Amino acid sequence: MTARAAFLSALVVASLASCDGREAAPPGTADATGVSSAAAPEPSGGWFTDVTEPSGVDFVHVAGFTAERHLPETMGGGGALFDVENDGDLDLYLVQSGPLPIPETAPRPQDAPPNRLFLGDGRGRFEDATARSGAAAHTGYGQGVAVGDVDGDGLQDLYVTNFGPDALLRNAGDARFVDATREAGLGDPRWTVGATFFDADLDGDLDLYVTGYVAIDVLHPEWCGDRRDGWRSYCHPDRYPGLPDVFYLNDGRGHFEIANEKSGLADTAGKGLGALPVDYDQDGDLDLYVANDSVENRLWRNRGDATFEDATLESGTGVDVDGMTEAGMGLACGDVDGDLDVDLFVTNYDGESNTLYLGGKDGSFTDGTVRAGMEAASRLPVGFGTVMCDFDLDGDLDVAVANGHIIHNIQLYEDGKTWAQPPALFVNRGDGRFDLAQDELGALGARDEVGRALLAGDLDGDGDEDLVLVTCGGRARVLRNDAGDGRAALVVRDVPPHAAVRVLFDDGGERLLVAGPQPSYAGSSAPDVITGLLDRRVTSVRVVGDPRDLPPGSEFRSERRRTSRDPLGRAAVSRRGAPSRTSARVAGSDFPAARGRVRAARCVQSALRRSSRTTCCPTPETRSA
Amino acid sequence: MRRTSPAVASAPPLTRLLVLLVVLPVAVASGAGVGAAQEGPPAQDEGTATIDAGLRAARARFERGERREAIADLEVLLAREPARLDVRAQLVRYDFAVHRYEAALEAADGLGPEFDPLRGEALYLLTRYEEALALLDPAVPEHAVLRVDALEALGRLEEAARELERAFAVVGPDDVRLLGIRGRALARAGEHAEAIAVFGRALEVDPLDLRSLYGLGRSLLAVGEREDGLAVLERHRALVPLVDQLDFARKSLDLEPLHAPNHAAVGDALRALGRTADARAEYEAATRLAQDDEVVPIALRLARLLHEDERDTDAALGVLAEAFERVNDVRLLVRAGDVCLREDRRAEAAAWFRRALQLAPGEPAVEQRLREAEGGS
Repeated sequence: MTARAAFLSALVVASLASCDGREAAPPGTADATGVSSAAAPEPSGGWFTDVTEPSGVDFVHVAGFTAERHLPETMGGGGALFDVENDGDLDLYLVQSGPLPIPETAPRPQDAPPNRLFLGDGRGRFEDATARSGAAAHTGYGQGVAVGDVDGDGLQDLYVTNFGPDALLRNAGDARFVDATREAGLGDPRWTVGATFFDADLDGDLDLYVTGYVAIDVLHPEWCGDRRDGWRSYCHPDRYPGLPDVFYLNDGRGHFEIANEKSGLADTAGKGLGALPVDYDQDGDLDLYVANDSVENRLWRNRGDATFEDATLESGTGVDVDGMTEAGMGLACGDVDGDLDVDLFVTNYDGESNTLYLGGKDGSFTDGTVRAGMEAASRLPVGFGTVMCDFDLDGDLDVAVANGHIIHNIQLYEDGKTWAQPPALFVNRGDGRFDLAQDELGALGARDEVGRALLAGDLDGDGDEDLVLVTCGGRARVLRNDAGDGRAALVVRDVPPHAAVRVLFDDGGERLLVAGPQPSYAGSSAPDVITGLLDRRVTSVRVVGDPRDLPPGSEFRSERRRTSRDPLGRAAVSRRGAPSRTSARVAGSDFPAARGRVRAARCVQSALRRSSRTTCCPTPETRSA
Repeated sequence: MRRTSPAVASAPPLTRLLVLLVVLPVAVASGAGVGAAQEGPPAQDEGTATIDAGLRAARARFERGERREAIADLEVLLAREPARLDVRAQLVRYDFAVHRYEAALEAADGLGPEFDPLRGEALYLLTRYEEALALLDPAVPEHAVLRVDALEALGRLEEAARELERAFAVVGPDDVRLLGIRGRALARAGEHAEAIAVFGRALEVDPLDLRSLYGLGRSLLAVGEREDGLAVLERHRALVPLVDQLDFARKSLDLEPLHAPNHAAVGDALRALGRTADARAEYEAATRLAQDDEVVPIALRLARLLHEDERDTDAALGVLAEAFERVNDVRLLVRAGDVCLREDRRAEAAAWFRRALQLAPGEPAVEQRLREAEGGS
């Protein structure tokens, strides 16, 4: 068995969250978090309800805007949804910026606002754990964050990208982090935004890819825009040289070495904002798609040993259908048209559209934006974070996009454009063609925002994916998804990061799903795979690259590669050869009934719905289990 | 001194629609719809005369490059005389020219159907395609192209296909934009052999048309012509940044057409693409518009083009000498010496370097050049 195959052994839970019969407290109920019932949201009438207040997430991004309009000010903020404590529910990490560090004249202040950690209770409420999170309260000028277990200790670590030195924050357990940047050989001092962990060489540990953006001179800022008062603008990235990306190989002990040359990742084009590991050719290894701003995107095909070949030209993923470069920013992937191929979605600048690349059987892609009905609606906004989710649990992937312009005074230059813009939701008709949502938006479209990261995950344990919208210079918003109420979901948890998962149904149908964490923009969405079941029964779940099927009802165990600790508390990952074999980790108290089994259930009300309780109607799968 | 143009801040990295590269509003360029209203009512009283004078003054400001100031003046005039359709019409045109499309639509309120073409273009540029389609005139060539693009953007592909054929009839069979769109539609339908022919025809008309070049490469790959396809795509990959550069520079120029460095930037991009004559025209325009502190870099670039591309050494020296007369900058003398040195006109080169040393005594780099020139003479 290869190391990857061992790593691929996964826990699959087919369940609807909160279907354990336990009453789900509505968010407005006063409890230890101090959230009062008065803060309970009113139903929005659409899919999404703003539950920011009752959620307890009170993060406000501080961009550090200056009169000189330094470009980093307008590129944050980022965030991540992940399970800090392995207690089965999602926690939230939000990346702060603050005053822009300028050498000599304005160094980074000691009291710069920190990144913040919010611990979720699995029911949509969060507790601010920043003060006791140790190094997670990082105070660099933040841009984005990647999540992964770099040292194989079973705990998710963080890599924070900054305008300035990046940081690796090792999860020490109990929601405490320690700064492990130096011993890991990391700490890129340049301006970086996108980052992702993935096992490039199939050796069972997570490697790291970090996108360099552009080189700016904060000591001598260029004046862009009109000279009149109020007209100075942020300069276009075309004004700056691009910075190359960096690929680090993990030595298995949590130490990283730059491996661009030997991995073939030499010409990375520069101006990268997003990196998405994806097994687009479904050969069992993770390839890499990189979004670059105003220069060609890159698709790197993994030969299976962490050496890559540039597949951009042959795949057709570097430019749009007209051969034009776009301002690639946010990334998402999934099978939107049900043809069992991975499709890619990239958000772009105004005057462009977001671009949907439809995967084909031969590893090539076609620009399907027009055919999908996504062209016109995305030409005016500037797209940033994006997620593909089956929000309404109807079995297909919808697409949400956080929009917001780079230029704060764009309306002075083109009066049809604005800095703050409404997010967009594209509802899949079931065949990969989309309708731009109006009624479905609910609170998601209630206000214009300077959207940046958009994170998806089931925050309240009701089996559908909720959203966290991170804005530049504004408050992060938590949006509860009610669209899946009453529908059954398959929830696949603890699959290897970024894995492609094939699901077979009793009617002979098959579905391709892609696990997270997906990067959106400057972020990391939840790793779980969630898809609507409708009236189908799952007969098999298989991770591509792992020969074993995971039939419903079968007990199985996940195999983890771990761990001994050195005196410094660093985990040493067991290398090739006998991986340690542990019990399947079941994610938290919301899923006890589903431990180690494939199950499904029907839930008729959302866990966060006011004055209601969660009740679950067993489906045949549940009864048989 | 302006170091960059407004477009640097506001322009997208590339206008994705080739139509937009070409169109810049036909209605504005042609003054469409203003017609008789532009003439205004006959001067009958002092108030009317004042408005007329204000209108003329605003036109003059606009033509001097004070475009937003001219718009503000017109808005004041219109507030005083809302019924003056000629003022309103002028305001619409000026709003449009500075990308204030919503303001243009608002200002056009009350103007007649003769302004519908402009309304249609504004709505198109605001991506309000459904509304735009009702106003864009299929008999107007540029509108015909916009209509095809709008229908495609809306995903109304069958209608777009029909509109495309109508557009060919209006615009002509060799329009590169339409050929590119046709090729793209054929490729989307899987008819790659036909697409290859159409893209090939487009590239005969314009070898730098990125859409057709890329489409050709993709279609060649699709029919199994892998090596040829990749070769075309590699060529496309090499051209993309150059065309991006041109697009960016053009948008800057569009926003501030009287800013000399914007012309020079367009010249740079054109030169990089091998379009020497067009580049020279832009450099010469930049020279005419340049403020004193903008003269040197522009003259150096024009001289380089004349010397290296057009092999016209005397013209290059003439440009440098003329610029030196204006701004007395030593760099111009050094470049003139370098030009002579490269042509082995060493005595002349030495003379230029000696003049340079009068302005920059002891400058090692110039002294080195002078030694080189004298050593060979």
